[in-house]
Amino acid sequence: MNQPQTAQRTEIPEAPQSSWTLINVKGVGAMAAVGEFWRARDLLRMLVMRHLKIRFAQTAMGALWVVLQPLMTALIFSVLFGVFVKVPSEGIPYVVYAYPAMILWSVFAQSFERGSASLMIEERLITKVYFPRLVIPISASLSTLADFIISTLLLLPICLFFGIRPSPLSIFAFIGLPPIVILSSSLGIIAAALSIRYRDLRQVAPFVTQLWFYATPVVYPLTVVPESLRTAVLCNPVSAPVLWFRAAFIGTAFPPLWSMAASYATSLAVLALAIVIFRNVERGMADWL
Amino acid sequence: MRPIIEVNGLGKSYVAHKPGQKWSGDFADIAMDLLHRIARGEIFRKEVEERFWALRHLEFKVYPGEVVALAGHNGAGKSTLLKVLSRITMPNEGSALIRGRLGSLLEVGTGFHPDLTGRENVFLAGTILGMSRLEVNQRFDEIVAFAEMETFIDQKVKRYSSGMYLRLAFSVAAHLSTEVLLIDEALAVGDVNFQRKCMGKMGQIAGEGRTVLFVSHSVSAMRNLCTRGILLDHGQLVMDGNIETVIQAYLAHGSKSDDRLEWVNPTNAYFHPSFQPQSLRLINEDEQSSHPDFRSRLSVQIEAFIQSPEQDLNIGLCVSTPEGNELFRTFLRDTPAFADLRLESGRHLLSVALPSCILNEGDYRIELIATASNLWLLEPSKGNPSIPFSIQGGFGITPYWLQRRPGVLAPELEWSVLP
Repeated sequence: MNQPQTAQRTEIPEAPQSSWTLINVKGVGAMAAVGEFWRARDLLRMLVMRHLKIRFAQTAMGALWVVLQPLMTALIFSVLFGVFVKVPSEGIPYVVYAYPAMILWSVFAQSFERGSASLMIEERLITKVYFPRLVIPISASLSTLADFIISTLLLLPICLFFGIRPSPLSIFAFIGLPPIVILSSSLGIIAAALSIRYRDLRQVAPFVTQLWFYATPVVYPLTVVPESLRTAVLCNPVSAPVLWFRAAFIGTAFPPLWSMAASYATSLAVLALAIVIFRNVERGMADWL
Repeated sequence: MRPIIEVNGLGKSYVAHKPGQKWSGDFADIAMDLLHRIARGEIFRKEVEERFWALRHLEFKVYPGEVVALAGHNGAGKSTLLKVLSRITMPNEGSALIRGRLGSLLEVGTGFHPDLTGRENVFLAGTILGMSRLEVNQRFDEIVAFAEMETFIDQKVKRYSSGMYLRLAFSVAAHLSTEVLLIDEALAVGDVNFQRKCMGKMGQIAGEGRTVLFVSHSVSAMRNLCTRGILLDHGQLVMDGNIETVIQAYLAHGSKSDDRLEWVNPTNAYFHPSFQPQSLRLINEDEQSSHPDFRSRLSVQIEAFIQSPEQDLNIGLCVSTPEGNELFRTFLRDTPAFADLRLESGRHLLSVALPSCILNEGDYRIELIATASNLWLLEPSKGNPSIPFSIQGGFGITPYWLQRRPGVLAPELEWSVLP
């Protein structure tokens, strides 16, 4: 073996130790992974922006679609449940009753759906360049926040149109958002990670979402649920935030505080689980895809 | 001076075949495999996982400012090494220490999205490659100027010509400021002028005292850019030294050609009762040259076993480039005489002649594909039996066609001058 020919070159200062990388079988340590993720925050932001820009590229109505989706669903259910079945809506026009809950539910469902499909969609990126993989599902999930903001802004004119004065407690509505975002992104991360090995998950996910929808008091009030089952419904970590969000805006009954606390706790626990699962799958990700 | 890259006993293996296709996710496959094994009375025999080492016992050091060529033929492990060093995939053995920030350019246009403008793509691709937004911002004008894209930068990338697209993509990549750069040869792109510019830029990067690992098949690129070479063969390091010595060894190794142009079913992978491939061979009909060249008459032989015949089983081949661009597919039932052929159970040997004087100089992959009842048994680019091969030559017999022409194909066509 020849000696490396470095003699004629100028001395190059060594890079700081913080930028070194050790590559071995064990992979990145937990602390290093946190640092890496932090350094990837610009990337996270760029990917969220990309999701938004691509979504409205070459659509005539642009952001209007965001509003139409939960609104149309709310209208369909108003006809179905408000007019035909006459589900009680605590004395409030059914559309106004269903729409706020539908907003939060859409965030949950879409963030989960986009997160879980994200790794498959970004296969090319994953096999061609390294960055903390977690930014992929997270950026996909977070892109739903734009939908949330736009549809929430529309809530006010809708309320006024139906002659409902938004409650002064509205500012507290957003307490319902964090558990929804954390839970849905975490579930998205888990589904994305597992679907690399078990592609079946892609078939199962829509089912689960649909079942979950009916298990959550979105299109019906909690009062139609038999007394004995109410605690069970409230244990569903999506229920309390949805009820909370609606209550704060249009003055319906707030869910019990314990159920909100439980929702926060559950979502954080699922987040921890998601990170553990993801880190395990991340090691072989490029090879399995 | 301490080495900036230290590789210690690095190894990467892949599972050649998973017994029982545990993870394939297809219940039917698992069930069929189980039935198959019951039939042979070996349910309980534990099949050993076969591992294929794409890289093994790799040991070398690179010092700051060195520009090192990674040479080797297809499947030697060059790309795997770049993937391990850039952390896209993890090693199964050993370690590597990189004393500096690392950037890797394995493909042009990573992270580009057609629906975004040039400007947005520069920021997106830059951050994906590891720059911060601030860094991209600082270099933005430089990137655009290098790509000669000032006028179109706010247009959507899908409206670009492929040349413009590649120029901008390369330019982003070339402005990474990491201490270590891993570069795959596919990077020199575009028309001849821009290719020259790309090579110039790479030379400039090398001259700036940054450390570069450069994968290439092109001897002239290696000679121009690199001072040192590392030759890989079957995942092992066979030579490390002066670039000229390594180039000579690389060329000599090429003509010896121990690349076997065949695939043999190692175990019972790809089991399907109506079609189980046993082997795939690329045969060079011109015995004198062991390596297929532009003029060789090549044929492909497929050996397969059929357990339960299926009426419309169709067997085919798909030829593509290593990047995954498909050139063509061909099927047994394209031949009218075989349109209604029924392949009975048992062993079958099929052969198909590939046209000569059509594939340009370069690397290709021939892949076995099959359908039955409008369903894929072996779907293209789903890890089917395949043979990588490279065509050498790629020019005509007249003095007007003396070097490789651009383009995927280089057909020699019949011209006539009409009276």
